[in-house]
Amino acid sequence: MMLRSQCKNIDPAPADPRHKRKQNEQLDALKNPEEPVAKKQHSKGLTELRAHISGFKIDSAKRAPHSNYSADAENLPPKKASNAVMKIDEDPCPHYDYDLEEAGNPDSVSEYAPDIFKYYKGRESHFRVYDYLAKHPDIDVKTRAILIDWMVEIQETFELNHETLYNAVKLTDMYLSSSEKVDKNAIQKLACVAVFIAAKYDERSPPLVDDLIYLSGDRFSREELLAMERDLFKTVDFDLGSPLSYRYLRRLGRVCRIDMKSLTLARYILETTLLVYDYALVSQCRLAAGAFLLAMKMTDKSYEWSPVLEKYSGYTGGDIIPLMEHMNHTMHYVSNKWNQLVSIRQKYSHEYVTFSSISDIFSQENGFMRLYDPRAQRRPVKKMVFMENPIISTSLTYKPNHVLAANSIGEMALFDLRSKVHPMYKFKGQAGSIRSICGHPTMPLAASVGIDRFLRVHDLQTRKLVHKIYCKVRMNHVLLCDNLSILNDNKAKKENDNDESEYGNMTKGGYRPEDDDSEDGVEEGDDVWGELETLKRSKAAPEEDNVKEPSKKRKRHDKKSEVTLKNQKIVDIVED
Amino acid sequence: MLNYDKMEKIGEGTYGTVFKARNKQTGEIVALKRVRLDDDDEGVPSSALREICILRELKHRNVVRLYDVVHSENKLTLVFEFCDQDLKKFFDSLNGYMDPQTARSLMLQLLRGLHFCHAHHVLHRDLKPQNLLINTNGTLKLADFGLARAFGVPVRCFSAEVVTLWYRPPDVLFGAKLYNTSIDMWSAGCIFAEISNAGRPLFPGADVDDQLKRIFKQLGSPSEETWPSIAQLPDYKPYPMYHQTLTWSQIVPNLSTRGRDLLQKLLVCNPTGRIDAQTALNHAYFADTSDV
Repeated sequence: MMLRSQCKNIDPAPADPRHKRKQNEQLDALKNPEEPVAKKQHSKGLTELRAHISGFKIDSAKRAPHSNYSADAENLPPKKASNAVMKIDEDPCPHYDYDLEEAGNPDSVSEYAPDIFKYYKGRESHFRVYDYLAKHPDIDVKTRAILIDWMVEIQETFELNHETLYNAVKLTDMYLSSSEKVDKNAIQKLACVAVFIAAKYDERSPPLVDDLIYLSGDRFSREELLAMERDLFKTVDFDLGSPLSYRYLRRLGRVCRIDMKSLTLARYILETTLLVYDYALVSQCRLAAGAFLLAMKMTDKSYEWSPVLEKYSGYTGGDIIPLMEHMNHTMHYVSNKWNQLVSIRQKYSHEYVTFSSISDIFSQENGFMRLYDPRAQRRPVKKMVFMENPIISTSLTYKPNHVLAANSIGEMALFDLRSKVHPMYKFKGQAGSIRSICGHPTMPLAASVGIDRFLRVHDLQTRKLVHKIYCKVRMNHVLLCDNLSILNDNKAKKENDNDESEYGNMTKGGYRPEDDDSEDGVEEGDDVWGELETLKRSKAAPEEDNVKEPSKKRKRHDKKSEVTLKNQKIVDIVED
Repeated sequence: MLNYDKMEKIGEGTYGTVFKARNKQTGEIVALKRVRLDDDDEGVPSSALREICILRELKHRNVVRLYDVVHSENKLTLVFEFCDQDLKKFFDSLNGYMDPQTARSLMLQLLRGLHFCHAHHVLHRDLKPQNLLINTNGTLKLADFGLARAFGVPVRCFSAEVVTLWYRPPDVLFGAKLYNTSIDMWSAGCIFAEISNAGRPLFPGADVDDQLKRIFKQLGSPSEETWPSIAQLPDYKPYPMYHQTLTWSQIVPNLSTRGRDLLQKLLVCNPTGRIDAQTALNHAYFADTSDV
């Protein structure tokens, strides 16, 4: 699929002209007395841990979730202690100084940013997690992944910062790394406390003990949770300021001045790596660089590791490319094999498609659609209820204030962001979960796909189904191209579903009165609508099609039209 | 607390009580900060948690050292290095005159400590004479990190309810939530003037409005020209131009010309124009030994 094909284009053996530099780096690190030194004699785990760093190597062949890719895993170079210290003799990119350019921008803290990232690098080795699964018979990679997925859910529920999530995962790993035989029942408590402590460290209003216990299904008492807090706090030697991959990623994104979409993709990749045990053992900065490069390659195949990236990450392309390829496989593995761990995917699936012109961001969960304005506040500026089922997908439409949302039982509705909290109109015909919707940016059309294997194109103006294609497989994504030829092609078969009687079945919120009798659709004249003559012409088609039975006969017919449509490049279907 | 003999109560921190104590084995004098934990509390209070974590990271001559943490079911004890007095008490012992060398030494140490915090991703957010400790050999140490926090780059919005009123910068007084290391630099400026005047506070405002008035009377009211984004601050309201009643040399008569120059670079209303600790340390004031 897309990822793999792009991967082939990556040069596996990039030229590395700076091999000598690494030795110098090591020497320099020794010479540099200013570098903060670990003072962690109290912590047995950490001392042991440091001893392991030099010989540390990822061994994912044994218990990795992606044992299929063990060959790639071995390509991951062992972590060298020298990498933990960013000390660059020669500036790989002397003509570019991001912090100089940012001077005077208050949120960049440009006077201190280089110091701070250098400091992070120097501290990474204090927080190294080493291979701990052997010490915990009850915990395997899958258990850990489920646990982290749950932590993502908690983070979402309390609307906590990303730093809190990353820190909590790190705390969990550090605890497991220096303890033994933690049993299955205790790890949820551990995860809970890790989120609790990380939130107290970073959040203005951390979640309350009682709420955390409630969300954990009351599996432990208040006293047990507070005892675990003491235990965890002591185990990490009262130091919660571990350098986080998320911060490095933000830094790289800023330094390369990438757009929001690529950054979101990189954040999605990086967050997915939290699920994978192997990556808990990798340096945070390296992980961020890997996720960053993968995201950039996914957006633009020709993207290459650059001197700018080398300057600000401290790594050469040769350091990062094998990790990036490994991550590429991991992304596939996680989405194929761990497809029930959906928290991260759900979290990002919405952010992804929906950056509207007014920079509102949507998020949806359990039948709520939340409207965020990132300029104003972190809490949603509006909440809308849409039936009772989880909303799977949202999309913008040709009108700036209209959005589409679809849920897991095949309901799709149009919302007006200016109006109250109810859907304006519900589209029908889908069976089973809708996986993706895509609204045309300029035309009143929207395509949707779902597990019923049909691709449907709706006319948002008339509310009619204008096209339906049987696609043989369950689809999970649909994209429209700009010059959708359906708009000019009156030969394309138009169909309509015949169970119109179900309109008005909406139980919550109700419709605006004028929508109630708009099934016939055409009368709703709108001034934006002038250009769509071809579509109006096709309005006759539904009448004929209504006679047809939705049967196998029709399926065959759809197959034919699917082929034609594909040739015309009307829709781009990404298969599951 | 088995290892320490509690001696006397020294004071109250942002949270918890501070005692002087002696280590039973070594005889070393320490300061114990004790926080009560109740069952129906939210575990370790976040101010204590942050102070512990931050001081765990900051090991510097001009930052108070946290030796140990004892965490039990119903109390949390922080074991600090002991310092004889804070800057406020030191002022009281001066009888109104601060010798210029001492003033410069104190300021240099304050900026060194602050530079170290900032370079290690920490904002203090509550600098004032009471939170600067001085030990017998004249070493100044930043203390009380109860309001401090680690910041990321780029910085996020934080609480605007920070810093004791007299030492709070104008941007935060106007409700700014997005601030960076410049927040501490303003406080350092106020403390600098206070040091050179042997303890007379520079802007002892009664409330937010009075505080802003006092600042703008001395520095001139900011405008869209001097501070372009000012009108976007949450609690911004325009202030009239006041007539400056006292010149800088009247306000800080003991300070040399170079010292006044540094002070004016610290006390800049627009946070983007405020000098940072690193640059301040390289200021000519610290190279100056004439002290005229």
